[in-house]
Amino acid sequence: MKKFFKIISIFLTFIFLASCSDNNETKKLAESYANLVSNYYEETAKRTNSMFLAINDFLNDPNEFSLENAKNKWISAREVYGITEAFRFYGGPIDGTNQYGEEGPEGLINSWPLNEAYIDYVEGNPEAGIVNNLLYKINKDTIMASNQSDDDADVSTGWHAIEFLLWGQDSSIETAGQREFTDYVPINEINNRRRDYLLLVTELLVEHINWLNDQWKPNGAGRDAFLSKESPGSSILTGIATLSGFELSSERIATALDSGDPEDEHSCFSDQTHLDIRANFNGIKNIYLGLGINNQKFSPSVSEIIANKNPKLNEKIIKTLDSTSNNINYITVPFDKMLSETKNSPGRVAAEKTVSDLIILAENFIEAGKELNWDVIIAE
Amino acid sequence: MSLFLGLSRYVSGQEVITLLMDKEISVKRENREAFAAPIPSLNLSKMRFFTGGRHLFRRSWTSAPSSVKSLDGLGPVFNRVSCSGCHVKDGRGKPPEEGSTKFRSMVIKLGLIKNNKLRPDPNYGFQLNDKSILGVPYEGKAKINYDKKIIFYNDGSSISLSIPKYSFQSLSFGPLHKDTKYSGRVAPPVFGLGLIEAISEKDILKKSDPNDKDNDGISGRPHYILDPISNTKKVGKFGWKATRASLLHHITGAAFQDMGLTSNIFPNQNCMTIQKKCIAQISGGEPEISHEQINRLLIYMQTLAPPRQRKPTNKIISNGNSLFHEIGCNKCHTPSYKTNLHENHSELNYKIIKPYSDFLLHDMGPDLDDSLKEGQALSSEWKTPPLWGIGLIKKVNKHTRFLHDGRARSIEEAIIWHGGEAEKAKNNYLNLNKKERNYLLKFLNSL
Repeated sequence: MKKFFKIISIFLTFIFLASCSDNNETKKLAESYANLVSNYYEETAKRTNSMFLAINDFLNDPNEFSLENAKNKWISAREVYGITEAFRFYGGPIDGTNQYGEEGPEGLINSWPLNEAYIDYVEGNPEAGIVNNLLYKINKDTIMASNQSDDDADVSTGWHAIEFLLWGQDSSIETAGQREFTDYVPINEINNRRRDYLLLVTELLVEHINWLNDQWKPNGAGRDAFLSKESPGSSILTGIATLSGFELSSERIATALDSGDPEDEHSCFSDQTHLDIRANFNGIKNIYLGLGINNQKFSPSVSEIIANKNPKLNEKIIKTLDSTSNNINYITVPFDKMLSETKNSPGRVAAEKTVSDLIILAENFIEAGKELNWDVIIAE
Repeated sequence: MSLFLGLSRYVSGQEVITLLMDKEISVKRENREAFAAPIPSLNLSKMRFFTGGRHLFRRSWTSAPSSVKSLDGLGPVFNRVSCSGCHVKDGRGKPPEEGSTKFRSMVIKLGLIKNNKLRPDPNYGFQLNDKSILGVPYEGKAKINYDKKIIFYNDGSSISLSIPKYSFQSLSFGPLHKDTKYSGRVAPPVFGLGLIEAISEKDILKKSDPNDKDNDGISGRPHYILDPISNTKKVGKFGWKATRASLLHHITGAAFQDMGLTSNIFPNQNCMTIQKKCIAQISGGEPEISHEQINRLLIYMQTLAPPRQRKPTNKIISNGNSLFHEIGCNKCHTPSYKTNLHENHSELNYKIIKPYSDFLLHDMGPDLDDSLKEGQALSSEWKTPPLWGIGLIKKVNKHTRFLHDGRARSIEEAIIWHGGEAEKAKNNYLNLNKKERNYLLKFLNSL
């Protein structure tokens, strides 16, 4: 009997130590993850601000080149913002509700699909939208209050509103939207209103991104809330699993493949959807591997922790990541051109393969969660 | 013992007060997207149909012919151009500002009773379509003004209710028929509907008591209707008066009446004989909304998850829960069910859900009588509306308008509007003191 207790007590000690070291490891992971998030938001803030300056330059002197420069800065900022979408889906600062009941800015930053006619003129309706509605007073408060107020597609703020204001409607599958810089030459009231709108909506985006950046800085409220979570590992995996198995695979790729409708393309005005896909994928991959801007290493990473526990699973995940990355390379550019291709065209097949890879990835992440006792629920 | 526990957990209406919804089919979000999540157990291979349905739910339809063939066929007369126009964020609609004709997430039902059956207004049909495509006159505009009515609590404090009064203007085809009645309807939330589909009729019928044999003053009865999808008699579960038994029938009906989209279920255009220009319009396809599109919408509707109760163990909230039962709200707002088999999605089978409805028709008294009899549902009869998510409407839809026509400006006003079979429960509420009323409201807001 005595021996039995001894065995039990040794066993219990072992469990205690094991869970203790697990806890320590999770704590370290949570901190390296928070640093990684901060690293990406800082870069996003930097690039979004560059875009803001470029848009200012464009408005000060509207011409082809200043417009092109503003567009390029939009693309460059999106490249990093897309990565940060891996920080969604678990109630963090971006899309959670904090202790004061304040809701994260995601809906104001990246709402989509966007009904163009809600903002400005479109083909067949030259007087459409907020810009042309002289009774509408354009300021930050009204623009924010209008976002998705009466219809989910009535988006007035964020990346895609700015995208539409810079590129205009995309009516061709060969090129992006062809808005002329002359829309912003201050020669009439409508143009002035459009100028005001573009400037204010960009300012809003900068403010929201800066807010996110502050949330994750050392001692930021969002970071602290994350670090004090019961299971930060669950959140990390839920973020990348949901981006992979729901948002990117279904919402942004498969839905468009099924409907064939160019409006189901994510960045449809600028034709930059291929970069959106790549950026979201980089988010999934880099968060898993613990890689920051310029491949700066953040350790421990989820990958390292899984590798300790189940090296085969880690290898499997890395293999799926490679396969996904490879398939993304073969998706037809621009994305709306692919939608008009036949079902068995290489570009479309690559897109379908990307979708199935992303779903496998999500399943792998759920499996990894089980291995570590972290709950991973897609899109909850 | 375990069998007994199992039964008591599952038998509808006799549940343990603290029973919670199954996590596989409910979500814990508290933000503006609280109603927009798929059930967590949804098979990942189906996710693309869910998101496809969501895109379609949010897309604006245009008049035919248009460059996007798959999305033309709007109208000729209609109320909104997209599903999400009324069901914003998959949530609840509201009436327009007082005196305004801008109806955004509410419609006016019309009809006249002939030979004890509801018939369309001869010129305007069953619903006032206040918008139209280019070259076709819209039917007309409505507006709502409110009268006031003061109600006193037992403790001497009072609350003011607003009674809606409708008026019509710019009617394109003359006045409404002299016998035509009208009733405002806000858009109901659209989550959890697949789970409601999966509730067995048997479980609903258990609570049916048309002749009030148990003498509790409540005589709920099922609304039997002929379901055109299965061509069989079924218990209606959807709509303010439970006029539809299947979601497919329900959503094609909405696409037809609210947006003017024809489908396999509703193949004819929504133009009355006098509306010549409406009739002359080109169709956007036969039908305008394809079978495949309807299927995507259906999957979306069927797998949108209900939100879970927040902080169920909080002292105030659980006190409120007890009061909910003590004053008899639970007699119609049946808290929980265990679902049966769902025809399309095994993810919905045998799950504990908490919709807070018996899905039966109840006489709600003269104050809520809307003068429209629909099917077997009398004008004073309404289906008990589910209460799940009620506390999140403020967050999701940024308003707190309740009841079929949004007349109640708060959950509390909605309670006080109850009459008829709910008169007793309402009076029980008025007899509570302020602290108790607050408990109950906190509980409702946690749903």
